[in-house]
Amino acid sequence: MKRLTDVAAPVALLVLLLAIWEGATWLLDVPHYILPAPSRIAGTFISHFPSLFHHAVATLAEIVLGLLLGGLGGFALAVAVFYSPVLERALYPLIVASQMIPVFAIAPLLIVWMGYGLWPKATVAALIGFFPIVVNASDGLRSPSEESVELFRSLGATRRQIFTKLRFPASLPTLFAGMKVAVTLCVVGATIGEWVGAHRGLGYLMLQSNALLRVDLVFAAILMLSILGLLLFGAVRIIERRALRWRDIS
Amino acid sequence: MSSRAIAVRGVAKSFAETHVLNSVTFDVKTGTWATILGPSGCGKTTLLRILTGLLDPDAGDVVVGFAPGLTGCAAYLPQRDTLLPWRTALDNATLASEIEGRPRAEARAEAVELFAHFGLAGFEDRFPSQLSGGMRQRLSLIRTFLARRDVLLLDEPLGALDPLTRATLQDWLLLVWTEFRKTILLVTHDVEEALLLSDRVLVMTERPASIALDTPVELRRPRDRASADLAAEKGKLLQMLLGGGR
Amino acid sequence: MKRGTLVGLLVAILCVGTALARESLEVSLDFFINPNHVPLVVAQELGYFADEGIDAVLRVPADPSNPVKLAATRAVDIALTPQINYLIARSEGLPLVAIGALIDRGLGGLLALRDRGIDSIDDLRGARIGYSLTPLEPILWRTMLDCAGIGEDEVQLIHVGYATMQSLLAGSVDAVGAFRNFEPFVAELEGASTVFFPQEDYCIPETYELILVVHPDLLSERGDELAAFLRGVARGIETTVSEPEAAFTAFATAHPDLDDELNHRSFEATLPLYAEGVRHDDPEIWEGMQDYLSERGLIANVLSLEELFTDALLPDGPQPGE
Repeated sequence: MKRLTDVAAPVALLVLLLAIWEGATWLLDVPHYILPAPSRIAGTFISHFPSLFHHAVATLAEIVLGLLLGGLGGFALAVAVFYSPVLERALYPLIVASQMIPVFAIAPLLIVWMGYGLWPKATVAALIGFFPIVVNASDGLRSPSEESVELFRSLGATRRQIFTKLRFPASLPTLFAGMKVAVTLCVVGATIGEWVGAHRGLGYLMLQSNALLRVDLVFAAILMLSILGLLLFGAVRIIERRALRWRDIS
Repeated sequence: MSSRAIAVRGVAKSFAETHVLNSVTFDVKTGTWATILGPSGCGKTTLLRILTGLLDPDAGDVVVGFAPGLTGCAAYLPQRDTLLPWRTALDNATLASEIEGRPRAEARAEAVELFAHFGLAGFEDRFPSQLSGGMRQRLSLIRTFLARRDVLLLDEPLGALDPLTRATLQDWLLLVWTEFRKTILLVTHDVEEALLLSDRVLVMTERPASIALDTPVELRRPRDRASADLAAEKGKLLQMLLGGGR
Repeated sequence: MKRGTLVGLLVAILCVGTALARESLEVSLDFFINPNHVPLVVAQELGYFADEGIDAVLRVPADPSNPVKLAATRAVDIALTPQINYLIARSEGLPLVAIGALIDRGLGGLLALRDRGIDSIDDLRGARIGYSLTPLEPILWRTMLDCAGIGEDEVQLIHVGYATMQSLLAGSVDAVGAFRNFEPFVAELEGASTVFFPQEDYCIPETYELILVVHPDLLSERGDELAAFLRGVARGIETTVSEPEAAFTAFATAHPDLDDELNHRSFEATLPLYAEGVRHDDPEIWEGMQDYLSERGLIANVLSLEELFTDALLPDGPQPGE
């Protein structure tokens, strides 16, 4: 019964918000090329579904690749920075500064280096998504108590064993938290990457639709993007629940 | 095998400005139980860490087991709960074997036996969060045992427990010690516990610490918590503490 | 001075000030300020709008598809926009009407570097062509290539976002969609020698690159001010064409960050392209472009000429014979 109310509450809220949106559009006579009504967006979503799906697949590939790159890269960076104070001092300011660079500045550079395929978009996504992973992984690697580390050392564990058996498993909870944030950032990153050079994808579709003043199609693309984001977020949560079984047992 | 499992001579240790240990000297005979009594923050943990080999003394010599202060000669049980929450009870217990690369099946079998022996049968696949405080301490102790060292260094293992659980575990520890005849160095601030469990009591002073008192416990085993003899010994010890040690 | 007299004086100034203050005309440009807009800046700086009794404010839009939306919702009064964008907007039902033009020719085409061995459009066989505006540019360039007899499989059209010149100069693409009065000079200043293929030479209908559009209601509400505005713009164009150096000086003074060799060269190339008398009313140009866009699927609805533009506000009046 509780599951039912769990689902009912957000659904009810969503329905309410949509109703307000629909009503406001109608009452205030908002032009469709400024803000289309949800009903119109839904209609466009259904009628253009094959096209939306086709573009979604392209963007999904960029997001997933970006997540992998950002995830692995971010984690590797966190490990390097953890074990080398020199690298930490040298790299940390750069890592933070990297987040200040607006995408439109670096994206053309990436395209010149990597061409127009999947990689530049995935890289943009990875650049935006790796930051929460580095920060969270670093915190996670640091999380075991002094006593735990001493226990391992007293048992004669090598640094490698301390990493694989203590620090790495200890970092997983915060790492997954970072992954969930990274998912949403990678979705945005892939979309922006497409704005600076693509021939497929939901971001590209948004550009195209905007130029044709088909704002309903822009929103339909955004809806598809949201669905992708939710699916990916859900996927990470499922993996998290399996990996962190021990945490959810009360 | 040496008759002295632990030999400490004039060990001193400072951290920055703080003088923690100042010429600590004592012996612990093989197979016996010694307890260090002392106020909080007097450096008991530091001493244990030196004995484990995690820390080097600034001065003095330490011999534990066969070799001078080698990491891995003593099994160390830290004060705070160091069970790994993501491992099952059984996997926590076999941590030492895993680190040393012993065959998995063998280590697990050994652990299962101990689980049964010490009342944790059936809890092998539970996670630490599912165990009570007392069970977690038992698990920690099993893990310490399975490290297969002859010397055990226990840092206030029962301090956080309620009196009933503490009493149960004290009896359990005695049982284990009697059965396996390890050399135990226990650190505690509980005078009764020291008298109940150990052959010798070593009283540490406040920082900079040294051994103020080194006295045998002249009570016959098995000892009774409620006995008048124990109470008398406690009285004597307290007098010595309040009078002699600073 | 006595306190009473001071107050009286202030009140008098306020009254006069209020009487002189007019509601301004908000004008949205099509893009960032560039030499295409010199006559507008000239008109402003030399007081041509003030002479007509109006106050015009020039605004830069957030994104290129915005100006028509802003005019249609009356967030601005006048929008500057390409005829093609305007026709697309009208097809989507936006309430607008065209009142005049700033540039009465097409500016677009394909730009390539001679150093890559490209001299004629035929040399684009096997090339990669970069573009930024989708879906418009692929359709335009495809038309040009078909016209030149180059098949679809003989060319790669690549969306390069906003970095067209970077892609071209770096060699990632061999040609890009460009405006004849701007991008070629970017390349030349980098030491490259260029070749430009104008769109109208390759089967693309003539167009008004920049027209002025308003919400239809404004014609009745503020028609006089709009006519005054167009007079100011026409005068600005006249001055710009007859005294280019003075015009550019006025432009550069108002926008010092654009006072460079690139913008100067661009301006000189734009001089013959400004719309004399801000005329925008050649029916053939309207019909031609609308039919083209309709055929290519860029617009779904075709409108009558009366619905699309009005020449009622033009400084020199309607065409003779209308």
